[in-house]
Amino acid sequence: MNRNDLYLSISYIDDDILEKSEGHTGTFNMAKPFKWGSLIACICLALSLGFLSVSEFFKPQVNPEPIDPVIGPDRSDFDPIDVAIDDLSYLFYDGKVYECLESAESLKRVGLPLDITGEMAGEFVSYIESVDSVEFRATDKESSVKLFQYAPSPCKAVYVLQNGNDFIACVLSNWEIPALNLESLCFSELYNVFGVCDSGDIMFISEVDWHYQEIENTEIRDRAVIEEFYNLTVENNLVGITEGDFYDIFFVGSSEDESVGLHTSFADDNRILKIKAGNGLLFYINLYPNYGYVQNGYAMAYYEMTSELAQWFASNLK
Amino acid sequence: MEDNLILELYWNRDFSAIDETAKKYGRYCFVISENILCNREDSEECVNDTLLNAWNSIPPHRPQNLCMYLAKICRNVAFNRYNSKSANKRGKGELPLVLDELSECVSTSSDVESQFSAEELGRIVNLFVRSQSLRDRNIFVRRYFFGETVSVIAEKYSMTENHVMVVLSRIRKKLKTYLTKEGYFCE
Repeated sequence: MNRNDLYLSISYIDDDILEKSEGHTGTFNMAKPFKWGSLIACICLALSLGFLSVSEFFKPQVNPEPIDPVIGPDRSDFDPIDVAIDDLSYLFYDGKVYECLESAESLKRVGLPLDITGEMAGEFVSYIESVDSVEFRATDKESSVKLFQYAPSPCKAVYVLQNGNDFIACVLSNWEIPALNLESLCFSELYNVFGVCDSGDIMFISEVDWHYQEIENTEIRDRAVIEEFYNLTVENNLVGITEGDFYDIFFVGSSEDESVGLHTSFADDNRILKIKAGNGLLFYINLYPNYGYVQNGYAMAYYEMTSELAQWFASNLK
Repeated sequence: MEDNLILELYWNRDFSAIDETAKKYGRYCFVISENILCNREDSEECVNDTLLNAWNSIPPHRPQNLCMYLAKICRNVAFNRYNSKSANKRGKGELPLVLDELSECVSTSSDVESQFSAEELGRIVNLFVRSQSLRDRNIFVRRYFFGETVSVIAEKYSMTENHVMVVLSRIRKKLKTYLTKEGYFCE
């Protein structure tokens, strides 16, 4: 197989997917509409998989009222950065992939200040070299681009990259696939990299839509409820399975027609939880209530919910 | 004219089907060709070839979605033309970049291509795309089916270009993992 074969194979993508991409413009910040078809399909699927006990607790959003888009801050005072940094998309460091964020929206999404300055560059971490126009990696060789800890909250989730007088935030995107190991698949490692040592380090939990806009009235600040969530995810020592293994469980062996329906139902089932750490950083986990799984996108791992965790979601999410 | 009426013209072998199709979808097909070929004259010929292909294939086909049916024909016609014109030189436009990006998803060695047909690969890719979130699905399709530039996609979805590139790169990595899992490569 070569790239031409792959290009031509993309012609086999179903018409409905192509057509939807034509129709959807603007931001992805609308609350997911209530879909009877999807709900019925999900319930049927859950029944067949024996997850009804989980699905009973969850109800999709009945009110598809669009959420007012959050207007980003005025970018007129946002200093442009030089070409080298402008092209920067990824940083590969310590077995993880970091997004180098420059837009106010992106910085806001992860809870960082909109202006990253030299004062935020803490302890020196590594020199950085350019691999190509969009990939940067740590190097032992001295270079003009340097990586520092994020001084306001040193942790493995955020670093500050310096290029001359410019400073840019590098935020954890995901573990590198070859670097995935059992430790990185543990749910507790997610807390660890974001500097969450115990439940007291979680300020609140809320639900967001597919464009990471917070859904109204979903914020959980009750300390006891947050502590219960933390304990259920840590004390049960949730160890994830990889994306590939997850696909094997749910999608392999079904007929072509069944697979299409299963994949659509799966994507439609996705709900996203936002967690705000005490250090101000925001991170996100995906929830598939009708499948009984939680996904940690940073490790690209799926975790089967315990009945207690499913009950927590059922009790605390709308 | 409604698509079903245009299709009736095709099935009745009425030549006005071609005019009606050109009127309704000519510009649409031109944009798809132009994204691939980056040449006005070639793209116009591509649209004509697309209309001819539609005439020759309807009947026996009765596409459920005429617009996407034409888009698929047009994309393949334009791609064939691109290959024939750029056999010895790097072409202009987005397609060389798109193909370079897609090469990240294919193995340079140890692949087992002979065991799979293009249609089978297409089925796998289709299932993969379906499993992605709506946003990622749309971005993938706009880039790799319609050949739109990163800046156009960024504008369309109110994202930064960097963000679009990051999303695309992440999807490509996932696609490679998925294809490996499905047995397309031996790693």
